[in-house]
Amino acid sequence: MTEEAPGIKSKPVYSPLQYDPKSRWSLMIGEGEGLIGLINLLNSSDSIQSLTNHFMYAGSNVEKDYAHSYFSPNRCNKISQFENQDTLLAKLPQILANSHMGLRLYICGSETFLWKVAGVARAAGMHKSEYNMQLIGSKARRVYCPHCEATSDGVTTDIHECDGCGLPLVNCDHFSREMGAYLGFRVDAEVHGEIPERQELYR
Amino acid sequence: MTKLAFKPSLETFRDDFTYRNSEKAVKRFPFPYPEDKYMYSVNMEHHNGGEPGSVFEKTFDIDEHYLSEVEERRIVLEKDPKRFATLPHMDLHQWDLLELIMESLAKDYPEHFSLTKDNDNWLWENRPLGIKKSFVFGDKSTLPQDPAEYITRQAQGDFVLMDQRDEDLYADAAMVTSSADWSVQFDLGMSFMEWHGPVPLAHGMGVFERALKYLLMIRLGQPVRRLNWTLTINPRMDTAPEVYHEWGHERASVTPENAGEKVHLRVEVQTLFRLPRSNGMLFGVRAYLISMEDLCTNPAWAQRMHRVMETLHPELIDYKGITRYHKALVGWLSQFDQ
Amino acid sequence: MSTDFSHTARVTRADQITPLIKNFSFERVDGKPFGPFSAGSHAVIGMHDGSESYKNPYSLVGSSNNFMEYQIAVRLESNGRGGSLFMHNNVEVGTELEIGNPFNLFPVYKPAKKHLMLAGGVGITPFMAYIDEMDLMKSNFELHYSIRDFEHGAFAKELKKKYPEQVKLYIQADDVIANFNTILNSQPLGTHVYVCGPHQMVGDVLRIADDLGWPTTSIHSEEFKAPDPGNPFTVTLAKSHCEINVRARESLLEALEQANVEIPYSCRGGACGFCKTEVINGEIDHRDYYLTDAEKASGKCIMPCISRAQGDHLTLDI
Repeated sequence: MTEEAPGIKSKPVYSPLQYDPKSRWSLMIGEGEGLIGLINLLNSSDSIQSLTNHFMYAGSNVEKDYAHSYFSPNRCNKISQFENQDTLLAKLPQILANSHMGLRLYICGSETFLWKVAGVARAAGMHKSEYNMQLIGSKARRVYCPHCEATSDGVTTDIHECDGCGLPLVNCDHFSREMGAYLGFRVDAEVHGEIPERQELYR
Repeated sequence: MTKLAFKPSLETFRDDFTYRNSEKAVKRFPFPYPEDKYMYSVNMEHHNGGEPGSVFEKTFDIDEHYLSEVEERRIVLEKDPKRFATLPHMDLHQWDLLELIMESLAKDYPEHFSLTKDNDNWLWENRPLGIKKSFVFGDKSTLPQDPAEYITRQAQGDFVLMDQRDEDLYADAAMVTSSADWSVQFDLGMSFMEWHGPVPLAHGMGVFERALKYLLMIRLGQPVRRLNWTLTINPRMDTAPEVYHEWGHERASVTPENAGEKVHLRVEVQTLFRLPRSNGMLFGVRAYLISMEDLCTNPAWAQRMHRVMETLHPELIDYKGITRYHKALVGWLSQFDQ
Repeated sequence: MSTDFSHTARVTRADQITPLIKNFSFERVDGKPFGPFSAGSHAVIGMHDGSESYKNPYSLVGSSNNFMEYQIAVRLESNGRGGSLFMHNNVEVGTELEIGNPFNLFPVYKPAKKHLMLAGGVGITPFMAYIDEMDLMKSNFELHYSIRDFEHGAFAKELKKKYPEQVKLYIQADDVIANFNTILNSQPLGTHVYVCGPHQMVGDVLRIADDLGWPTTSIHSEEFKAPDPGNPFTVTLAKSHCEINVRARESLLEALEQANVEIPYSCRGGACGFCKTEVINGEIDHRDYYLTDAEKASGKCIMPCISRAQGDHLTLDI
């Protein structure tokens, strides 16, 4: 699952989803390109196919059609497809409220999506050992600005303008699992106007 | 025993920076370097007293800056109330903290503080602040704020409450208004390894692994302490990321001429206590500030300070935010090391 | 050192609350209150019987008068090594003994959404303090308590009366047995299960919870396991240059203490790591839950409170 990257212990590192044979129910949750990770998971073990499981997915129509053909009823007990991430996330709390101990989540998609789902899982009382994450898709970052408390989504560069206060922020690898965000801070605080060239790092 | 006296008027840690150390405060400053070259170590020792008059003597040290620091905390919280934050399951930890601080201050400074208990009906007196408060221990409705916020508003230093679970420690509540560049809002809820994530070098040395193992076993009545240090420009207590965009520029204002006046050594006496009712841990961070000028009135300190700064590991220079003025500082200090 | 943190206490109450369980209350002889403690804590009680001394950990059941008194409940163990027998037969109101500082190896998991307690027999003792804490915190909790009958069920009647919805009793004499499969099968997410009771019961619950897919982070257990006896053996203390005999029915730690060799300790049951001691020579019979597999294989350290020599001799680096 998630391990620590060398050098900065708070940065999450991802690995392929691993099925937990001890679990009783599986909830597979994906968006966009994350579909691949969930297909691989389904193929990795016979028992996951025979378990009570539920597949939740948000993607384009083409992706959803493909997903439906793959996660057909004889491979999966329940299939829920959503128009977008938000509608999927809105439905998830209720599903978890009706779930029981023995459930595992397998989550695959862009980094921000992974942590949004994890946030719902944690709010429902789940421990990190009960959900698995794999990043397939955009590595664009959610960045927290301590100066105005706003978060900016979709940040692909090391420096960006804060969506809240407009200050130029540099983001570092210090990551908050609660927020699903990296920490940013004013890049030119020491000498105003002295802003390095920005680089695109997180596609 | 001489009664602890406070500064006659409030000092400021911002704007005009009227903070000054008396001779007595300079003498008792906790100089942190045991050698001419600095590197991390776990460096814990038992926190059970120290030389009379030293910063280690009392459980929670109160000094001449008490009233000024209480006011500084009030100012920070007025601008940003979220410098006190807590997760919902931390009520017991908070009551533990309130009890610990009240009992310690009443025992160590009876001329200024007293605590009377009649079962759960407590009466707390803080004479320097003119407070006389009756409340019911365990009943949040009888205090004007959360218990931890209430009592830490009357103490010097920052306080982090940690929940112990999963063979780990989680920073689940904190009052941090004199932060050395870390954010309570961002770090709230992090595990021990996570919140120490940004610290360079130490992870490779296994420092945090050993420290965590040690902390998990700390027993009631056996607190420990260690020293940490950094540099600050001007006697600014609040160097949190939240206001970095306001104070960051000060780092660029240091010259070889004004380094002695502007650069301050900030030493944290960090204390760790097992908490009785919650089984959690308290991490107390008590910061002491001294200007290079004042520090260097002690020739031995001056010489060592020069050598430590000169040989400081580049990653540490960077992590502690010293990069921009390192050269100017070493230049200024060299006069004490011929 | 653990011995620095004990107080001399006097028994203020000694009540036989069931045929096998005696409830004791203590106050400090210096008249000061004890300190507050966290639910699940134990304290080590030290007593002397002529040349024999016993040091047993007991769960703190509760306190009264704002910690002027501590309370424990002791079950008579017929196959024990004498500590509980001594408590039952020789400790009465007025007896003085040593009580160590509380230490917690079985704490409540604070962020849990629901606390599910499974108790059997004297395993109810840590849960008495748990329920006090959960009542205070207004937590969501359930207690499933298996007893032989009401006569043998310590605190059962009071608990059921005070918490009729949350407490479920399973009375063996009425052929009502707790079905752990059913109990653990349908708990909501965020439930933590705590089990304390006889060895068999704890083993069953752990196995069933695991089979039902509970993650280990949500399962907490405590067993009151005194060190098992073994073969006698001798010990050489390399630094002190002396030899000690360890008898069959005493632990290595106890033998060292009898010989006035002080070793730090806390739980005295192989779980906390405090008594870890370096071994220079001799094969070790590891019986603890603390050392890693690698540490055990290295043969360089031992937990003397519970582990023994495999053969007839050990050399320790003390």
